[in-house]
Amino acid sequence: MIKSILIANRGEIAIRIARTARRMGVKTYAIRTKKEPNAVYLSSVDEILDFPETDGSVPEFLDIPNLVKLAVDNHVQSMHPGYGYLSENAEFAAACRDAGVVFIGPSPEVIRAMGDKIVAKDIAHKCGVPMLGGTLGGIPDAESAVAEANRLGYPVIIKAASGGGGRGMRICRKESEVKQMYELATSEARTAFNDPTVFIEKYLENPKHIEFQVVADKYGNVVHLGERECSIQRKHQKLMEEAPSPALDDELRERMATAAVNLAKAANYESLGTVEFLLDDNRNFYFMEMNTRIQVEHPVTEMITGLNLVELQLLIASGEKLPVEQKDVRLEGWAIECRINAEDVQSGFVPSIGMIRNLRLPSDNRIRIDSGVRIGTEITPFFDSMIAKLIVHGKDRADAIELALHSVEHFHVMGVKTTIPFCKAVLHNEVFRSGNFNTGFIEHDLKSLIYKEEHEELIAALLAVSTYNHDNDFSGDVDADMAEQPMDPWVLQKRIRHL
Amino acid sequence: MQNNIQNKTLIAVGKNGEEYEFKVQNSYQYSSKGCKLTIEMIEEADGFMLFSCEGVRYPVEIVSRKLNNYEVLVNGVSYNFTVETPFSLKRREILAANQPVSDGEDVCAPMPGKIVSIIAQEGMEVNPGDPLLVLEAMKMQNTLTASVKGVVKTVAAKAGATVGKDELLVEIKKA
Amino acid sequence: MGVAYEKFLERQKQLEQQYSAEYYEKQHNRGKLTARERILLLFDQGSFEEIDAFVPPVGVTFGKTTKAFGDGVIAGFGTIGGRQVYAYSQDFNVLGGSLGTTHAAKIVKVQDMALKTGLPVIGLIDSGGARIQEGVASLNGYANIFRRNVLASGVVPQISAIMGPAAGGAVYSPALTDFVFMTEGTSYMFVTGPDVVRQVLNENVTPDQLGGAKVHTSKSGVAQFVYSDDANTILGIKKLLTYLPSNNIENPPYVANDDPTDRVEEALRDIVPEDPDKPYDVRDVITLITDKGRFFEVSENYAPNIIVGFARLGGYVIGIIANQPKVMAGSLDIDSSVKAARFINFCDSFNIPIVTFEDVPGFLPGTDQEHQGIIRNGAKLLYAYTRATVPKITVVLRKSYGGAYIVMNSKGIGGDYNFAWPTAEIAVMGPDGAIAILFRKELAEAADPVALKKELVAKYRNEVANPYIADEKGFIDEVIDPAVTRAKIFRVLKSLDKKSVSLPRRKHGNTPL
Repeated sequence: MIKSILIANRGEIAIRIARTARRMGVKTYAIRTKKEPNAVYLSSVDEILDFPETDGSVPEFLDIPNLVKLAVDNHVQSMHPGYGYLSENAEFAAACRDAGVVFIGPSPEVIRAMGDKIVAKDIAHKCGVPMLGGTLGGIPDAESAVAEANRLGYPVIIKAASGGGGRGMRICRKESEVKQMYELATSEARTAFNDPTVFIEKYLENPKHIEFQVVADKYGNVVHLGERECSIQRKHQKLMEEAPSPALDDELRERMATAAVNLAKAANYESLGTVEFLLDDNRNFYFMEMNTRIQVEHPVTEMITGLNLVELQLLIASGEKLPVEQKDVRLEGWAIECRINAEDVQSGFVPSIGMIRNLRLPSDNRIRIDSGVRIGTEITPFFDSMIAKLIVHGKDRADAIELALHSVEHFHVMGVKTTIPFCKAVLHNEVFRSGNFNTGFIEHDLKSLIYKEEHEELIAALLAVSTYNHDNDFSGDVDADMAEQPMDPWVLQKRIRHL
Repeated sequence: MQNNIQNKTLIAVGKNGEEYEFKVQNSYQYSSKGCKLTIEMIEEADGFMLFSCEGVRYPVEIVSRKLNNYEVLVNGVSYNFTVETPFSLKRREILAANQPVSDGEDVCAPMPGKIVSIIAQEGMEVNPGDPLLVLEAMKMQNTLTASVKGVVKTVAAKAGATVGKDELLVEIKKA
Repeated sequence: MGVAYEKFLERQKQLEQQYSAEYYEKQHNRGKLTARERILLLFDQGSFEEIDAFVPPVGVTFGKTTKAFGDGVIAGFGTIGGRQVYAYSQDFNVLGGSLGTTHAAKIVKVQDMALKTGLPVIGLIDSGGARIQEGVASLNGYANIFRRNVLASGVVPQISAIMGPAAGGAVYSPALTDFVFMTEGTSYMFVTGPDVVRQVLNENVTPDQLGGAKVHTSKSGVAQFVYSDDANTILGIKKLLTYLPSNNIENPPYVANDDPTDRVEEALRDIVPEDPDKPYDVRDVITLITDKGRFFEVSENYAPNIIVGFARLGGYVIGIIANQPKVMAGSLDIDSSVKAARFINFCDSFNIPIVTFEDVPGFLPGTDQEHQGIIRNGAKLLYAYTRATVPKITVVLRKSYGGAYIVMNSKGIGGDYNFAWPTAEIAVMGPDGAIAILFRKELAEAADPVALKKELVAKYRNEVANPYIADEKGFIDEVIDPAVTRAKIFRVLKSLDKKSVSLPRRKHGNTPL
C-alpha cells in the first residue's frame, strides 16, 4: 500500500483527496503557493511543502519539474494530480514514473493515447463502440475534408486531435464553409495545442451528454459505476450534473456500459476513467472521448454507488485488486450536483472577484458539500471561481430535485455573486424536471438564467429605497441638547489661551 | 435630525427604466400602490442581513452605493436601482435631453506598471466593477475594473507588457 | 394697528409675488431647485429667519424693483438638527443671481454674524458672477466676501455648495471655505469659461468637461463631495454638519450610540494579507473599527490612494487618515499629500482628534512627481501633522518605510499613541532596496547573487521588517491584537481628552505652499 501522497492540486479537490488518503493511513502533502498562502486546503493535510520561487512564467500546478522535484526531495511516494492542471498530461505521468514516484492515474501511454482523439477513436472503432462516423486518422488537406464532410452529410464538426474543453472546434453547416473552417481549425490547433492535426465528425445538434464512470485494476478487471448526466452545460462548461440519467433505461444503460467497459479493456486501461458519450433523440449513442482523471462531478457517482472513488484510485495505484465486482455495484437513489461558483450570472457568468465575507452552508444527512473556501477566502482571477459543490442524494429524481432546491435556498454567500440563482432557475424549470433535456437546455429551455421569486424585484426596489432613507437618516447623530453640555474648564481655559 | 421623510414619495428606477414608486410613512412603513409594507432590517448574529417585508424574510446584501445608485442582492440576485424623487426623475429627463452622453470609457493605466493578466476580451460584455485586467505596479497587483456597462471594443494591453501612466489599456463601448 | 399694519402686510405680499409659480417652474426646468426650496430643505422646519429680504439692487428706486427683492440672494439663520447655523442661498431667478453691491453686503452681514456668534456658515451658490452693471463695486463686493472667508477660516466651519454656475472670481469664495459640495450635472466652477477657452486656446470643451462636478471631485480636488441632485446635496451638507463643532472653541458633537466600544472584531486579524505585495481595501479596516455606519468619507474620488473622512468612535467624532493599499499600493504622491494635509488642518482647527491607519510603501518615485514638487507637497503633509495639536493616534497596519514612516504621524513628529499590528513592517526601506545597498559588495562577488539576495531578503524581512524593533525602542507604544484595535483607540482617545500643547507664540507659521 502507498504510504505517502503529494497532492499536486488545490481547492476542494485537494481537500477531498487528503480526507480519504488520511483515513486510509496515507501521509498527505500539499503545496503552498505564494498566490494563496492561507488557503483552506493546506489545513487538510499532514505536511505542507512550499513551492519554490520561480520566475512565475509557468503556474505552480503546471510546473512538472518542480512538482516532481518536490515529491522526490521530500521522499513522497506518490502523486495525485486531481482534475484540471496536469491531470491528463502524459509528460507529467512519465516524469513521475521516471523519478520513481507513483502517478495516481493511468500510465503515460494510456493518457497519451486517450489524449489523442484520433488514436482514441481508433481504439473505440476496433472494439465496436459506435462513433459519429468520420475518418480514422487526421485529415491531410482541405479537399479531403470536403470529400469526407460530403460523405457524412451536414452539419459536420472539425475537431483538433489534441483539443478539449470546446477549444479547436469548428462547425460546418454547408459544403462552402468546409475549406475555410478546415484552415481555421488547423491553424488554431497548431497555436493552441502545438499539433495541427484535425479530424471530422458528424455534428449532432443539441445531443445529450452522458458519461460512464469506469474503474480498472492492474489485473484486467474492469467495472463500470453507472452513468452521469452532464447535459446542463454552457459553452461546454458543466454546471449541474446528476446520476443516474433520466434519459437511460436499463437496456440502454447496459449497452452503453458494455461499450465503455469494452473500450477500457481494449485500451488496457488502469485506474479511474470516464467515457463520454453523446446521445441523440433516437437513443443512438456515440463515443466522444475518454477522460483519464477523476472528474469534478465524481461525487454523484459516489452518492448512488456508496463507493469512494479516490479510495479506489489509491488502491489501484498500490497494485491492489479491485475490491468490487460488477455484480456488487448497485445504483441506489438519485444524486444531483450543483456547482456553486463565484460568478455573476447576470453579466454572462464572469468571475465575481472579491472576498467571501460570510458563508452559511445548508446541512442535512442527505447532502454533501465539497468546498475549498472559508470566510475570508479571496476569489482571485488566478484560480477557478468554485466556491463549493453541493451534492444531494434523494430517493428518486423528484426527491433529489426538491432536496437540491431546499439546499441551495439555504446556501448563503456574502461578498461575491454566485451561481445559486442559476441553480434555482434550473431546478425550478419544467423541462429540467421532466428529464427530457439536452445540451441545448440553457439556450432553448431556460427562459431566465436566474430564478426570481415573485415580487422579488419589488422587494429589491423597496430595499434600495429604505437603504437610501437609512443612509440619509442621521437623527441618531444629532443631540439637540449637546450645546448645553458644559465644557471641561481646564480644556476651555487652555484652548482659549492657545488661540 | 428631521429629514421630513414622512409622506415623501421615492421612486426606485431600475436598469431598464422600470419604476417602483413608494410612499414613505416613516423609516419602517412604506406603501406601494396603496398596499402597506412594513419592513425591518435584521442583522443576524453571524453577520448575515435579512430584509423582512410584511413578515417575509429575504437574505440580502447591499453591494454598493454610489451617489443615489444602489446595487442590492436579494436571494443572491443582483438588482440596480437609482433612488429618485418625482422632481429628480424629471430632472434626469431634462438633463438627458440637454447633454450628449459619452459613448464609452477608456480604461488607462493609473500608474506605470506591468500587465500581469488580462481578463477582458474583445466583444465581452462588462458591467461596472467587472475586472478587466491586473496591473502590477509598486510590486502590487491592482485589478482595473470597468466603470460603465458596455462591450469591450478593443484590448490594447498585452500580458507581460510594461505600460506608462495614462496609457490606453481597454476601450469599452457603452451598451 | 390699522394702516401701518396693512402697509406691512402689503409689503409682505409683494415679496410673495416674487416667488410665483413661474419663478419655480423656470428653475425646475433647469433641473434645479429654487434658492427658496434649498433653504427650506436645509433648515429644520419653520426655523429659518430671513434677513434683508427687501433690499433692492443699488441704483434702483422703490416701485421698479418688484422683481428683485433681496438682490438675488436669500440670507439668514436657523437651526439644522437643533443647532444654529447661518446661511445664504443665491437666487439664479433674480437678476441671474449676479453679485451686486447689496447682494454682497447681505452675504457679508451673514458672515460677520457667524463670526461674532461662533456659528457655521453655509453658502449655496448659483450665480452668473459679478454684476457687470455695477462695475468695480461688485468686484469689491467679492473682495469683502473673500476677506470674511479668510477671517472665518479656522474659526467657524464654512461650507459651500455649488448648485449652478460659479465662474470667474466667484469660485474663490468656495475655494477659501472648508468644504465644497457640487451637484452632478447642474453645477460648474471655472475661472475662465468655455467661450474664453475656445477663443484663446481654440479648444472646444463643454462646461461639464471644463469644470463639472466629476472634474472637480476627481481630477482637480477643488470639491470634496458630489451628489446626484440638489436635494441630496443638501442632505450631504446636513450629514457633514453632524460631525462638526460650531466653532474652534467647542468640541465636535458627542452623540452616544449603541455600538459597544470594546467590540472585538476577529475579522481584522485576516484583513491584511500575508503577502506584503497584495492589496486590500483599508475601508474595511475603518468600517470595522469605527461606530457602525458612522464613517463619512471626504474627497472619495480624488487621490484615492489616501482615504480621509470623519467617523465616530464610541460617539466621539474623529478624523481618519488612511493609506489605501488598493490604489497605487497606497504610496504617497502629490495629490494624496495635499488632500490629507488639508483634512488634517481642518481637524486641528476644530478640535477633532486624528486617527491614522498606516500602510505606505513610500513616496511615489519618478521624474513626474519630482519635477512637480513632491518634496514641496510632501512637506505640506509633514507640516500639517506636526503642527496639529489635537490628539493624534497612529496604527501601523503593514508597511511603514523611510520618509513616509516619519510623515505619517510618527512618534517623533508628535504622535500621541502609536500602535502597530503584528503585520507591521517598520524600517528605513523595504527588504529589496535595503539588501541591495547593505550587501552590494557581497552580492557582486557571490557565485549565485539571486539566491544570496533571496536569502538576505528573507532574513531582513524576518529580523528587521517587523514592528518589534520599533516597539522595543519606544517608537511604537504597543504592538496590539488587530481584533481589539477599536477598544485600544477608544481608551487612548479618552485619556487624551484633555490634551493641551503650547506652541511658540507667532503670527503664523510659514506653511509650505
